[in-house]
Amino acid sequence: MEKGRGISSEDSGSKPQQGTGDHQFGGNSCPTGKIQVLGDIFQFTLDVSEFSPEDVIITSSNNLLEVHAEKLGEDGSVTNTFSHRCTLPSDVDPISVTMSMESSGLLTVRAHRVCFLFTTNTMEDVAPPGSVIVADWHRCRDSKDFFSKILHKKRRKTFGLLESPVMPPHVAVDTVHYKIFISGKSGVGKTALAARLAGLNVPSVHYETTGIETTVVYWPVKLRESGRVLFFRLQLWDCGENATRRFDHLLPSCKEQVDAVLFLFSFTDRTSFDDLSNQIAKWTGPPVGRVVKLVVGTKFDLFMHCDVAERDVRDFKETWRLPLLRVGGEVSDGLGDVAPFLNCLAEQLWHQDCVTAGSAGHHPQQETVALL
Amino acid sequence: MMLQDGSTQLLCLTASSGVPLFTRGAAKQLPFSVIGSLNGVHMFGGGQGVVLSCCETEGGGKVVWRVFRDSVMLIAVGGGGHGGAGGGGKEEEVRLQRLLENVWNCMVLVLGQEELANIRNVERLKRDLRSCFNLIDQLLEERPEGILGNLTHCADSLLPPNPALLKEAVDGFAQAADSEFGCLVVHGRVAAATEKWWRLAPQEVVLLSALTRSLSASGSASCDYPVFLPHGSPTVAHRLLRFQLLPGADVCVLCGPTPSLHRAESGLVGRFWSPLVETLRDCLAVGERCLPASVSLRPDVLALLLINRETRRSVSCVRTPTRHLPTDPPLPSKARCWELLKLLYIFSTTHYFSQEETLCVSPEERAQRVNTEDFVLGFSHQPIQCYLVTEECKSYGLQTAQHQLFLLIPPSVPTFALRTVATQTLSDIVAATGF
Ligand SMILES: Nc1nc2c(ncn2[C@@H]2O[C@H](COP(=O)(O)OP(=O)(O)O)[C@@H](O)[C@H]2O)c(=O)[nH]1
Ligand SMILES: [Mg+2]
Repeated sequence: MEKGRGISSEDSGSKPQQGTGDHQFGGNSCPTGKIQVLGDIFQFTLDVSEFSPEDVIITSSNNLLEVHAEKLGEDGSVTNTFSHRCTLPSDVDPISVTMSMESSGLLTVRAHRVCFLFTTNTMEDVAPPGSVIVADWHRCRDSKDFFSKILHKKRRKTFGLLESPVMPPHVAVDTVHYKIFISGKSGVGKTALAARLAGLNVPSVHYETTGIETTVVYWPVKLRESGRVLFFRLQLWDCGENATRRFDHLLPSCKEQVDAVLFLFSFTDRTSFDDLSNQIAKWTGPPVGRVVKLVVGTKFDLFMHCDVAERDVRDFKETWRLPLLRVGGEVSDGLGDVAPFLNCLAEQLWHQDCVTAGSAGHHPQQETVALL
Repeated sequence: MMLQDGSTQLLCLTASSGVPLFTRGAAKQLPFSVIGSLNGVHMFGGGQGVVLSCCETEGGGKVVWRVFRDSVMLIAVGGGGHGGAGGGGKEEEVRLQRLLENVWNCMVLVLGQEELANIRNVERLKRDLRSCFNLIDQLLEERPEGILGNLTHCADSLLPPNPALLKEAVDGFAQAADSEFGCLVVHGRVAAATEKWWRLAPQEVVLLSALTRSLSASGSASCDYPVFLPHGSPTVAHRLLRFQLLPGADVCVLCGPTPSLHRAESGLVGRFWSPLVETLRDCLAVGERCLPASVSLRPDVLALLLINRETRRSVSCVRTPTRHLPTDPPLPSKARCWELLKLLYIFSTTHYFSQEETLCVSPEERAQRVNTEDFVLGFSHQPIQCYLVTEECKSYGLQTAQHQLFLLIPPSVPTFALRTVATQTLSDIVAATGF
């Protein structure tokens, strides 16, 4: 977008802090931005009472939010302008951003953080976000060599089973393998989610998945404590729900040696949300063993048809204390779209392994070195 | 005119009561009253002891009916516009008949014959039939370009530079997966397969290739798909395990209850295929040409389709047109060449050459569906070559005991030279590849 002629200021949202947007222009005081984190809500308020609502333009691209305002005089000349930039924290879901402007002139931008409720004595052992791996690592300079290995011409690269990201010999990187099952009723968005996470074309038409399809996602991760870099090889198992009813062998095959389950519900389908507890219960208890559980709300972009209230989601989290992620909307080629999701998944998987192994930093699973 | 030119609509109803099960294709659906009439007129014929199988509309469209297992009726409505290389509406009729057959096979592949032949619960069947839409839509849209197996019922093949190595790996891999049926698919075409794979019915080989192709195109790494074989095993499902070795190269096996996908993938894929990565890459490099570099095609071959009548395999390719002289008229585009190749195949096989009818038709049905025109039936001999000259290009068909070859050749090539081009092309390919 066009840069405002006013002075722009930048807030880093990664740490909650008071905005520092006060600069003078044209004799008027400029609005001050304020960032707050309220639970899993990231909130950014700005007083733009100087401007009429139609003069305020808000744009966002990925995690960068820009507020730009221009006040025109009678003769059409610009009498006051300002622009304010704010980087949303990476655990904020870009598509969850909502904005409102009160009559007092207070602009409020709200977004949901990919939320975690962490308590040490819960039934599920969940790692707090960013505690195990470096969040946002894909934005850091030192990650470039690693992420370039999963990209091809700016798009995500597809790997055949005989391939894997190859690092130069002196940078030996271990690859850790995980099997993840995507659970949810037909049409909820399982196939679309797998495609989204792998950077593949998301099918626009709903075709029933009539068997098991697996999708492989490679994702580099930096461990916070040791600084060690690992490639996570996440194999997503997607199986059409009708197929599991018609053929008995499919579900057991999906459950064989599984490391994590993604429980999907759709924001546009209330029954899928109501059924979550049933689904999760099936995966809790002794016969199943240790499995990372994540809840994923799909079709969050279709807010016009939203059938699941924010309140219900909150209550649900209170009860189950599981990480809950929201997905939906256009898929862009960038890594930013999927980074919070994949980091969250990787973090929980690694944490589970460490807990299982009883010693942090040691990974019990067999580590495979790049094949080629 | 009921539909737009070139579009096809497919209707599926219960044969006994005419309850619509699904419709696919054509953006604008036929009104329900028309669907009802199409079913009604077929039923009326049935009451009079007449089987209505095809009719032509005033606007040049075609309607084709067929009842499968006395249970499911399929109707295809073609909007016309597929014609071209002469032969009136016959090509369209053949195309639509093939379509119905293929659609039925898809339905059996996914759901099994039992559920289709004995409909107990129409609503449940309607829901289950949705599972077939992916494959059916591909058939309707004739996707992807360059795949002719749905028409020829010969497996689209790619001839790799190193066939023996790949064959050995497929054999070993299938065996380790407790299976006799294994197949390597490169760029959507069969590059190597076990002996038993070729013993499957030709339509099954084509159908499994189509399924593999669509699964591969989605970008997934591996699959475990229950499949019924329309001829070999219509009531008991097998498991089609598919692994994407490299993007564009997939290996599949037809298995029983074991091994599990997880075990086959972690235990067998790397063991059998890692040593062959370079061989696979060479095979991928063959690309759309489908023929190894050892075959040098004459420059005056625009497009070709070669069928091995015994093994029911085919290779085909369309070359990027390079105009010889600026004064020459423009050559048909790639997409048009594929279209012309299909028309040439239908034209030749309905008028002159025998069609290998290994189709799933009962003897009575076969009698109703004789495509070969009176011309051939009225003669005691079998034509072995034919050619066709149009403004767009020249075409040549050639038949031997072992092969059928169909060629498109630029109009600038003199007609008397066509035969030489054809016989030489055939012997070149056979000599270099043993196809
Ligand atoms: N707008 C929107 N559509 C979605 C989303 N996820 C899935 N869909 C659509 O919902 C339909 C069903 O999705 P699919 O992944 O095939 O469902 P599955 O049966 O669970 O595999 C498809 O038409 C998708 O395009 C999403 O996040 N947003
Ligand atoms: Mg699906």
